[in-house]
Amino acid sequence: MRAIAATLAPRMDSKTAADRLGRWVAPVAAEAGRQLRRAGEAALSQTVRVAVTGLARSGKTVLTAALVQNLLLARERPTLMPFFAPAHERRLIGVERLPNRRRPPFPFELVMERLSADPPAWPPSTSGISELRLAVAYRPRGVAARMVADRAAVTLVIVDYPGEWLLDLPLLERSYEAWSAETLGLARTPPRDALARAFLAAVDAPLTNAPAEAEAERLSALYTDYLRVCRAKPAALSFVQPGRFLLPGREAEADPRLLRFAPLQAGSARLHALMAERFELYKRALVEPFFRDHFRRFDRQLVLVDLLSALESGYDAFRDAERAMNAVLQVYRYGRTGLIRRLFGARIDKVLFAATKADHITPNQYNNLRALLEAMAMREGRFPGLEEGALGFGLVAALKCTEPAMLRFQGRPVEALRGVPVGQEEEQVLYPGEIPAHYPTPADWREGRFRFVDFLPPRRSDPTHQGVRAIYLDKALDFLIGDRFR
Amino acid sequence: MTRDTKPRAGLYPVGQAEPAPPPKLPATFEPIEPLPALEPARRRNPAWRWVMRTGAALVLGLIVLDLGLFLEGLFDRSLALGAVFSLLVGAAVVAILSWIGMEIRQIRKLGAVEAIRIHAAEVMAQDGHGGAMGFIAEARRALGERPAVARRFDRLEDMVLETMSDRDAMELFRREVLVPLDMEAYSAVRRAAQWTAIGVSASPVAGLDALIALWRSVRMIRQIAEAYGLRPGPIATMSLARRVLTGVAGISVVDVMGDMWAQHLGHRVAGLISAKLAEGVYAAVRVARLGLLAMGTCRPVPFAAEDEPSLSRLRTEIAGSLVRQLNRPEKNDG
Repeated sequence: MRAIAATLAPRMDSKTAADRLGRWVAPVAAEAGRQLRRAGEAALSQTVRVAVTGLARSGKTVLTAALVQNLLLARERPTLMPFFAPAHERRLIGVERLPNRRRPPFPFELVMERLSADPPAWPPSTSGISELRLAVAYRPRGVAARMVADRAAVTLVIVDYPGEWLLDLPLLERSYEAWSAETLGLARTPPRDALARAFLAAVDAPLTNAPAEAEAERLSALYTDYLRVCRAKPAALSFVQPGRFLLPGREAEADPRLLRFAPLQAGSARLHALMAERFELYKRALVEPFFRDHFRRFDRQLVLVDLLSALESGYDAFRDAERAMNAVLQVYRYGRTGLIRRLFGARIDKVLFAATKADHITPNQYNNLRALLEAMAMREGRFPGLEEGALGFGLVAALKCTEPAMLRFQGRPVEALRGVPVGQEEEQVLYPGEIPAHYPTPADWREGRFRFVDFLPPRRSDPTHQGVRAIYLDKALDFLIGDRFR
Repeated sequence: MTRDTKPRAGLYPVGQAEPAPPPKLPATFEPIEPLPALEPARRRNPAWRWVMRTGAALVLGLIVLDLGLFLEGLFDRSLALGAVFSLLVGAAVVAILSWIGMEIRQIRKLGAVEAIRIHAAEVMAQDGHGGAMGFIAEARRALGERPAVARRFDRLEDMVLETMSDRDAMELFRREVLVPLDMEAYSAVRRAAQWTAIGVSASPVAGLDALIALWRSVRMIRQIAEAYGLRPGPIATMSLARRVLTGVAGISVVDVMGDMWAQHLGHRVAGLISAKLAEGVYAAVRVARLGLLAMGTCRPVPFAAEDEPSLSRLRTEIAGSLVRQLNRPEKNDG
């Protein structure tokens, strides 16, 4: 027995040695594997900052909330976003919200609460910049990527800011005198001259002896009123400068002096000097910091355009919307060596312009709406700042409030919509009219051509659990960030 | 666009509207023009047709007469025996009739594939709204018998909204329903081709290889048809095979490529290895070509460029499987 034990002993020893070595090596190897995987995950993981913007009432808030809500549900319900590749390819592992870092939080819960209530209601519109961060874990698509790591994550930062602020960009290149001449010239032409009557009267009035500060306050108040009337229906104009006069944001609210100026061509030298100084201060304290601290960091941009309101309000409003849109597009027309890049090093490499509230028109008009949006943007030339395929035109409805219906007209059925208009309790049928297939002329606005009505959110749609019923939101998301889920 | 043809834009009471959503394309498809014949009608000699008909009637009559006499003889011998055999004969007749009925139904369904194909082309060409939903309902009837496919249709219907353009809805249909079915059919073709390649190369008896290729082809055509929602029995399979071989319009894309490749590969492989193996590969290519044609015939929507089954991929796979077999010659049991 002993002999056997003795013969076995060295082998046992070597085995224990191997075991010991194994015990020592295994955790090291496992740890190395973990580290490698982590490094692979880190190599594949990235942050993408998507900016969502549009003029007031273009539906930014609901769209941002719908985007996030559907993303949160996308793994469990891949049918919710059939055109968002990572969702339909079932590569999403999990989506979770992350705490905010730099900007005020987006009121996601409040919006969802309003939309889920019975009866549901539209959430209040936001007036400043806000952000929402999501961690989207996914399985990489390519074999090579999967060899590096079997999972990766995209940190999606959605930043929502007023489109009005983008309209301020051209101010950076203008002197106070040039801006005043331009703005007053615009205010004196129809249809604005009728809206600017009080302000123009004050500007054109003979000199007063009032202190310059008081004059600046009075004139800026009148000018703000004029801008407000421009934006409101029935005028529904879009080009309002300076944008912060309507949506000041935190900084301007903290220091109202920043907004106490107005365009002026006559007036006392002191008043003129004060106005010019304020104008420069506005640029320095509000416009530049916005582009430097926020805009510069965005990777992708979604610009929402409420083309329907502009169409409904007539040819002037339509042309004005075009002017505003092209002012926004200037940002991307500068090219790689342009002002914005030189000043702030903006790196946005994909922009989607989307006509919102697509549920306010019948589906057979979608192609026309998309084509019209593109025609408006392309009238002023191309975009050297963006690569081929980096500028998209689409349409979305963040929350579908209508159902298709048929209206009988002269014995024939005509496509229409059914929904509960805001301020009413009963369902009605809307025939919204047809979107022109060509670039419209004033003759296109005959009586009864367009009618777009705001509808209440659908009842009992349970967006928190069922997802938000949207139109082409998934396509928009796929265009904006789909390529980052490689 | 004038006031006469369109209503004034605005709100209308619900009562003025139709209760139903916009009409989809009719569920049972009624083509505007008569469908083109699947194959050119061949003019047969009417005398020959009469010979066939009278011959068939004669054989049928003889069978019926013989059965009648047979049963009568049995009844003469014993009532019970006669009754039992009458029942058996009756049951057999019912079974045969229902089998024939099913086969006819399957052959008809085969014809319906062409109708669906035209329907799909119309929906794609119009690029409107709402038409795709009618098409999907139609396709579901044709394809959705198997529970797994039905589940895919459920998923698809959950995705397609009435606001979606037809092109988008058809894209979803392609992605969610057609592509998985294509993969199923394609793997049937690949299996059959690989099996034929190995079987023919290893067949020790001349003539047996032809039988192997034939039998595998028939089985493959049935599997392909099953993947696309058909369930052909022997007669319907033959009808389908005939249709595949006579070349239904629009599926001849693989022909030329197939020939070129067969020649190329046949020579190369023959030069490299043995004549027997080259024979196997050649047979496999023929089976594969037939399979791809059968896919084209059974598929309810014509292949888009990106979905076109690839002969070059099949080539790699067949060659790969042969090389594997060559490396293990002892296991080459055919």
